[in-house]
Amino acid sequence: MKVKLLLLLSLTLFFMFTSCEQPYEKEQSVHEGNFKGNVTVINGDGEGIDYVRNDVEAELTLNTERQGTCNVLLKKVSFSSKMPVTIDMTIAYIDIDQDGNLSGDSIVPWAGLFGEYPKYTIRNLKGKVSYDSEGSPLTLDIDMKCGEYPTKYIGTYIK
Amino acid sequence: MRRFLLVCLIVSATVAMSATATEPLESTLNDTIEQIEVTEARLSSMQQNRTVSSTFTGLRRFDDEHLDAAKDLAPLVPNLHIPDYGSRMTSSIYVRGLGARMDNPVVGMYIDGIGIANKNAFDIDFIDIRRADFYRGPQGTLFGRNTIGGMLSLRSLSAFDYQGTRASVGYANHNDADLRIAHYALAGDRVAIAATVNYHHTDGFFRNVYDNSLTDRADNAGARLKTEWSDRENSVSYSNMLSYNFVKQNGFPYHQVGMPVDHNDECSYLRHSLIEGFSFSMPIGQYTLQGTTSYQMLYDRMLMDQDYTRLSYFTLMQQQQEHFVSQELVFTTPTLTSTSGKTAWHSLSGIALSYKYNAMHAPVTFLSDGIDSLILKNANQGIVKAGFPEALKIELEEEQFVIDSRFRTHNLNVSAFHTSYLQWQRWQLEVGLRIDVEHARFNYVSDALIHYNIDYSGISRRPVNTSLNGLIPLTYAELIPRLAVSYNRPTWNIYASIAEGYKAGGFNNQLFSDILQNRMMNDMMSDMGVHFATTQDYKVSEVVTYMPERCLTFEVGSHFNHAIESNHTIKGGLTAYELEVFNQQLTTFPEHGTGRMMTNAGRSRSLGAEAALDYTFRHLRVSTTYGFTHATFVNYNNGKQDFAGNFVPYAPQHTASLGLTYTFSFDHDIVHNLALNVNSNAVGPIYWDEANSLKQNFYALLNANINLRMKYVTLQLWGKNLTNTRYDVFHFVSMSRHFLQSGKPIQFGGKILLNF
Repeated sequence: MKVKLLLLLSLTLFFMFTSCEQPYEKEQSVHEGNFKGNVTVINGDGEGIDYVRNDVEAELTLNTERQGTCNVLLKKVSFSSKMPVTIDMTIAYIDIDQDGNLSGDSIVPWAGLFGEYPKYTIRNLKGKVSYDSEGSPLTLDIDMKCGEYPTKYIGTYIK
Repeated sequence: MRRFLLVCLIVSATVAMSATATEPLESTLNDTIEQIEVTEARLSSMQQNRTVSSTFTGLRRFDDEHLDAAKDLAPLVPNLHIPDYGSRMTSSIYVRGLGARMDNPVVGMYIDGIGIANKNAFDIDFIDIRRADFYRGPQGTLFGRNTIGGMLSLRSLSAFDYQGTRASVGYANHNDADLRIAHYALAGDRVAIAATVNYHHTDGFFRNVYDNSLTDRADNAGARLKTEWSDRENSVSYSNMLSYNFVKQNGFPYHQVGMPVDHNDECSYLRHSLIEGFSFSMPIGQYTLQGTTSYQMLYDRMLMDQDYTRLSYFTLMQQQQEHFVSQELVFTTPTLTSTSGKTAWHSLSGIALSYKYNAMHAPVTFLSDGIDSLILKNANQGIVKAGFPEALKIELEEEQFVIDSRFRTHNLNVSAFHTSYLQWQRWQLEVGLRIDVEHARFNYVSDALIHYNIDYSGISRRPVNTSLNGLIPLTYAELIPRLAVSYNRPTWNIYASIAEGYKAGGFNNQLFSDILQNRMMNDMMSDMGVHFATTQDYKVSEVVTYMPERCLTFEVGSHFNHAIESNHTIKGGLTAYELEVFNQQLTTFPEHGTGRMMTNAGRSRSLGAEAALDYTFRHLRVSTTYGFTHATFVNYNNGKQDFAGNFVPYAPQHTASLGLTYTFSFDHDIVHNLALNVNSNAVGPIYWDEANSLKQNFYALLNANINLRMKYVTLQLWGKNLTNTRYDVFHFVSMSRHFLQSGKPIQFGGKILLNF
């Protein structure tokens, strides 16, 4: 009888600890960071002319709402020389694994405080965060289709 | 009005009761006082050496021709133009193609040897000015900064030259009333005291159709106390002048082309100005030392509906308090003559020190129409261009907000000068050099706070706090040389001169509302995550600061003064000149903004000629002047347009005046003479912008005066612009709208002048 009670208590404790909805704990990860680099939009200016925007800062943060995903915020980015403004664009819920590989498809980005920006829906996103021998981030590479245009981002870690 | 008439009656009765039987000193009031000695060494030197083109006006002419301010003097001086617009704060002076509408002037003004520090205090009523001398051309070697176009010297009537009481009461159309009282007395042989008070009211000439108010109604008052002590035997003299001036007026009667004055917010100007100056002159052995110490205070406040329409865009308040102290010392050597008597030399040397402190508060209040048109419209257009739906509209919580700006300026100027005069027989050589060192510090604080919402987004009351603050120093040194040679005969001379001058640099505080407006919009958009790709942001120190404007003048001229047979006299002068202006300071209006800004525009050149003639024959006097200026930009490109070859705006190409006075003399104890005067002043054409796309054509005004002089009383009738000529005195563009100010229509009135 005592053994059964002890077993029952153990199981109860086990389920208590395992079944509670624990918030996703953001592990201290070397994947997060700020990068600075260039955005290249293939044929962005038409007639075979690529558009390049230099000095674009990208902030990569792990998404606390959905484990295994991250957000990339491209600051003051534009995708064509005809664009009269630059915007802060957030691509959210990009899948990321422990090796820093990024992937995603049909992601509607957010532009500033204005909400979703369907004009630039992200498709076929592939990317990689590279690290040095000590695990510190070095570069961020992203290939994607932003709206109608193939777009690349290459940035170097700054902080 | 009734109170004013009652005051006049009481004053007149009081004056009449206190009148003594003293005969008015007719000779003192006559124009012959041109020969009266000018005691200030530099002015005396300019009078004697005759290498400067100048125009003299005496007390009689001030009285007879109703010349009440510097703007009335301008037609008598060739190539001088002082348009009457805006308010008493506006003393825009143009001479020989040089001019300025804001900040530093091109002409200096001295009253009884005291230099007036702030251009805002130039426009005062002239009360008992015994002589006015306008010297054309750069006077920087002797007088320093801000005299590249010339210098106006005013000398008030001294009790050493006239004792008694002078009073006048005048009334004119548009409810224009003027009262002046002055008393001159000696206290013994060595002390003279002169006291004057004056009051002037006018309803003005223009109505604001928005509320039917009088848009240039004005009241001004003043008082002056001059105390002099003189020991002529020992050539020692002291003089103290204390002067106060008050102005309260509506102002800025600007209207859009083809429309009346029509604005919904207040436009007004209030000014208190105080001048305290002490001068002395004393011999030190064979040398003479003169000095002037002055303290000047200016407080003024301007309110302006800055869009000048009945829409509610923005309003400006500009309030400043300024304190100025200066010390000048001038050392004169005796004239050293060679043993043969053919060569002589004397010199002037001097130092000057001045400090000015100015504190200014200049908030710009953006109102509902201004917020919509100048801030939200651009912001929402940017959002749509970026591809966002129009429904996502930005709105401000505030119906109005303030861009609050405060400035503090410290300005220190130290200078030293020397001029030598070498005379050989009838030739004279004048060589002078001045060094001016100026250091200024400009402290600015400007900020604004707004809260914005984005429709349909759930974003509300997000604050945007934009501020600018900083300190900008400015230091420069200027060398101001002068070289002149003249050949002098008793009744005529000819001369040639080369002289430099400079207009001080400074800080353009009027641009701050524009700077902060742009930054605020950028800050708001950045807060939303949208950034303008092409901003109109400014680097503050580069845009706000402007450098001195330099001017090099080549001049040749002649003075003559002949008595032909008996009863004929003819005197006058001829001048031709070339001005080269470097780093010219020009006022421009930002295309889609408010306020004004000063830029160093490049180079301009002015070629011209002047003539002045004064002929008297018995009872007839004829005075005429003519000035011609061809002032164009040598190079000026503002980044959008090239104006090289265009006429410099606001400076007239021709000025002319003609006056005829005939005096009927009566051999009678009571009625002395009747003087009839008719004169005409003409000016133009005047281009209103650098592109020379608009201009005021040449126009002429007809004036007349009738003076009946009796033993103690003069009765006067006068009229100005008797043909009611329509003309414009000012034009500018603001927010792509064209604005004008019209010239004053016909004016006529009467005056009673009493001399006891």
